[in-house]
Amino acid sequence: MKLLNSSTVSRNSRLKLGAIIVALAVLIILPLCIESDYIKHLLIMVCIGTILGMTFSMLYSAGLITLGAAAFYAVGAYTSTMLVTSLGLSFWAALPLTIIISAVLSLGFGAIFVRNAGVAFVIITLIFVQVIVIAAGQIEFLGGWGGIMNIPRPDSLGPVEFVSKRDCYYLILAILLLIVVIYNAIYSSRIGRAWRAIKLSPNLAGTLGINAYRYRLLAFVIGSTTAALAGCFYAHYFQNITPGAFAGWLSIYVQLYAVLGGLEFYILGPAIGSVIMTFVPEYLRVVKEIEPIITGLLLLIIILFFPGGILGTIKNPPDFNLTQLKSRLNRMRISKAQGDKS
Amino acid sequence: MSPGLFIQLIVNALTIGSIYILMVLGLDIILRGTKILNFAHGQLYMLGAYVLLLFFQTLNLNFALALILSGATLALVGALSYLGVFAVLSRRFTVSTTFSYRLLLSAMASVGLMMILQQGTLLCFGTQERGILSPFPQIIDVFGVRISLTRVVIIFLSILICIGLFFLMYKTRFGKIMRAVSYDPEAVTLQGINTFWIFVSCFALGSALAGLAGGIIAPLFSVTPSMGQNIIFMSFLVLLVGGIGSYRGTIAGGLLVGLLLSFGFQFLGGIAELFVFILVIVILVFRPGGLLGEATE
Amino acid sequence: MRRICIFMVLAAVLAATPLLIACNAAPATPPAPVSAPATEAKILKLGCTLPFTNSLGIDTKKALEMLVPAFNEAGGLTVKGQRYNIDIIIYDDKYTADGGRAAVERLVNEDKVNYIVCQVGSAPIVAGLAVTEPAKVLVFCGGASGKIIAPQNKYTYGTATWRTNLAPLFPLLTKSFPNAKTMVNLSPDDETGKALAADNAKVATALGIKVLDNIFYPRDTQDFAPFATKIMVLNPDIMDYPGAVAGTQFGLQFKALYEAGYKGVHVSPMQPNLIEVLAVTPKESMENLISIIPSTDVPNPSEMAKKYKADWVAKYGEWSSASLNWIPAFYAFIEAVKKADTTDAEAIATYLSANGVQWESPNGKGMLVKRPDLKGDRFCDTCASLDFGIFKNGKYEYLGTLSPEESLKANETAFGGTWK
Repeated sequence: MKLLNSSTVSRNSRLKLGAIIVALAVLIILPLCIESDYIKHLLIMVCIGTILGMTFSMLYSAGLITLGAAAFYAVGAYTSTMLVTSLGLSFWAALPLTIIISAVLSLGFGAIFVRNAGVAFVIITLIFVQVIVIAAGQIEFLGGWGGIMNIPRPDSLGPVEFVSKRDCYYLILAILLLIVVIYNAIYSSRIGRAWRAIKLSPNLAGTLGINAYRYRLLAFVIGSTTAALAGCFYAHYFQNITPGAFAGWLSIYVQLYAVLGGLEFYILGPAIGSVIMTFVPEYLRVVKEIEPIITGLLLLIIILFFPGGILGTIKNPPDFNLTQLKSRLNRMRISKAQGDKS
Repeated sequence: MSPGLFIQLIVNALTIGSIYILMVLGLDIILRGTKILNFAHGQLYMLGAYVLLLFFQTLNLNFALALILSGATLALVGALSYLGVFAVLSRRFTVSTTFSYRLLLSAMASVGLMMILQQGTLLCFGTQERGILSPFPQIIDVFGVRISLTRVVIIFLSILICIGLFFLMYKTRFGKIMRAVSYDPEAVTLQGINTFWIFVSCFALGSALAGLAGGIIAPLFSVTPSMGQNIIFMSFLVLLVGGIGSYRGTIAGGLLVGLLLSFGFQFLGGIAELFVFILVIVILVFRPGGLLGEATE
Repeated sequence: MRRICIFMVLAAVLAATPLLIACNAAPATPPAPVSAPATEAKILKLGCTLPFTNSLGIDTKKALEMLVPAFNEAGGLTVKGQRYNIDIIIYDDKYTADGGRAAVERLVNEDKVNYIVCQVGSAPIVAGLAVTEPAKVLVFCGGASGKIIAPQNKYTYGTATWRTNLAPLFPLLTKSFPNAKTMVNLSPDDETGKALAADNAKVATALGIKVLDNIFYPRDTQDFAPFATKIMVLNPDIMDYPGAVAGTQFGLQFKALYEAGYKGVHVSPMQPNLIEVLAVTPKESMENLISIIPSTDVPNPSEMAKKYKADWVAKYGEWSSASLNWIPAFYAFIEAVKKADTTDAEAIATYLSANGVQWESPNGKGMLVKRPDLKGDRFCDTCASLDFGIFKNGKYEYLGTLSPEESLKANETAFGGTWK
């Protein structure tokens, strides 16, 4: 019995490994098969969206709903830009510095914000984005509302120059995969289990000796630092940043990625959601003015009828219960027939 | 600072504050009654302004009548959106559903609703920015203090609506049920009351308040497709400052933010908005539940 | 097993979506036959990004959809004996940096457009420059930001007059109101507002007007009463609105000042969209406003302006002048191609940067000028003919028209350097 079990497990894990290798191969070969630079641009945006969605999922796994993904995304973008343009550092020196600076900042702000949970936390993070955006616009040193132009691309690494879309895609893919590996490790560690316990019930987790505040703060710091990393890449890929690019509804789109893909899938969910929310509006460009209405309807349909998101629906197909439906229809028919008779 | 300037700043603060109060009372009733963080609230406000425009300008109705009709229309829109979207969604939730999951899914559904309402209004009414000429264009000029009658009317109407709302909430059986539902829906169900229609009324009442706020503000500001997106941030902020679930807190928060903005623009300039945001965060550090609310999970 | 399925689905979705889009897009752009006879018209693809959520964008879209077919019917464009018909592709840029970037990426990399015209918003334009400049795409655009015409941009030209109509405006003001000596600037708290407020202050100070204060309001402000109260404490003779958006927000500024009891002169280098402005404010509040007026509203409009207005009314019904400021980019592009006598974007840019170009549009004549004050030595900005009016007794009265050369001279006097 035991033997059989372990063989199934190893077969499963071997299959899983195979699937991962196939997915990786597809992701790596993809830009070579595609001619269009525009599609490559969209793929890069998908990767950035995935990273931001994953930060949202990480906070959600600890029972916090953030609307502030864009805040540290902006902090990362601005920090890295200032380090490169003002201090003349190389991109590769600015990257770790950005991570350290945003980790320190997020620890400071997080210590204040995480004291609140629930609705208050949602709204505070939303306001925090506005504060960051307005502050960046007001400070002349950061380029004001006009932002900063002509940010250099990432410096070349040996023979690889990050000028073409293909090379930029490989860079962001590498960053994404690194984050996936780290996140995966965290989720399967003690920390990940503590987060899930806190999400189910903070009080219960407290009785088990889990300090909800500290663990949530940890989630906030890791999530914010990851968003800053994405922002750092964004600034050097876009080559110009304006405060307006981080304002408003960007953070809400980030949540959509996570919800659409499936909330219980902390890594794959945001990826699927990001692919959909990036490519579907592209298909809908033909309908121009009514595109937001269709996107809104699509969102409502998925939330109302497939609450597990797309991955959740694949994993647990909704039980439409055809027999029940049939019997109900039959009953209706019978009652109608009876009504006709009388 | 001369006394005239002081009075003027106070009137400015009261006008903008009273609009925030109406918006936030609506948000709060929806949030506590139905546990929905309604992102479409700004769009309901915009829709209220457009409906008033339709009744007042196109159909040439009396302003008061047009205002009541815009409130009623928005109550209908709110009830329909609750029945069409949130009622279907809440069927998915069970006792074991975590609070954060409920909050997130209903917030996301309201984002979907927001997109549809926003673009729908844009398609119906066009991209042109509109406005109505105030039916109260007179200026009250007392000893050099100039106050527009429109502002006085707005403050007066807001007070009237607030009094009406409190009467409804505290003096009628319906209001008592509504308040009871926001504390414990299960207990209300056990009393043999059908909570479903109470939820619908909560959402309709909140929407009507947003519509009234939009309608009241139409003679003072312009009616544009983007007006809803701008006010929603400030409304959330006032909700936090006052504290969720406290009417007195909401009124205090609305007035405080109105005063801060009015005096801030006078003495600090455009950067005042940033100071208000930072001040709010500082308040929340010391009072996580807001000025008069209680910190809740 | 389920996990594996999910991985497979992810891989399949990731692989299939872009490929499908690529396939979809491919048949839409058939390659033009190289050996086509000279009589057969080739297609010249123009791109454009506009905000589909406000009337500036929608009106400009309508204008282009009206002008381009008419232009093709009238014979199109002939370069070196080869006839070209123009095909215009317009995408929504949502008035944001990200939306503009996505739309420009699509125009340049998917539709293979070599020229972009008539963009209106500064944020989408500036975001798109990082794509258009390396790809050597010619851009003729309308935004007011000075960053558009920065020296490092070699292929981008500003064809709106926001940056050059201040200097001609103020002498007119001092002539009409010689006793007005103090001024307050009220402008949006963004890059354009700040840059234009500084320019305005410079021009006004040179003419002996004292600038009492520069007041900035957050971009989406609707409640101007606090600012009006502040302005009445300063009590200036002249109110100036650099960088204001031309719609209802402009009207709300007049209204707030009127209610606060302001009785002085208003001056604006912008052209108020009267339909929207008068929707929110009574006519009395706009008394003594000196501003640019649409070239269709002068006593003797040019043939082009008359035809434009007639065509618009015939096609869309109600007349709206909002597009007039943005369409010169299209005419500038046509003239540039004709003058350079080539369709190669790089050759056109080389020609333009050295020689400039002149054009005539329904909004009057225009010409490219140099901006030595912005450290640029190429032709990049625009001086155009300007029609001025003053708002008196509930309607605009015509004040006069300046030719592009006169506008150029006024700018040279105010900012220094040789602009030609």
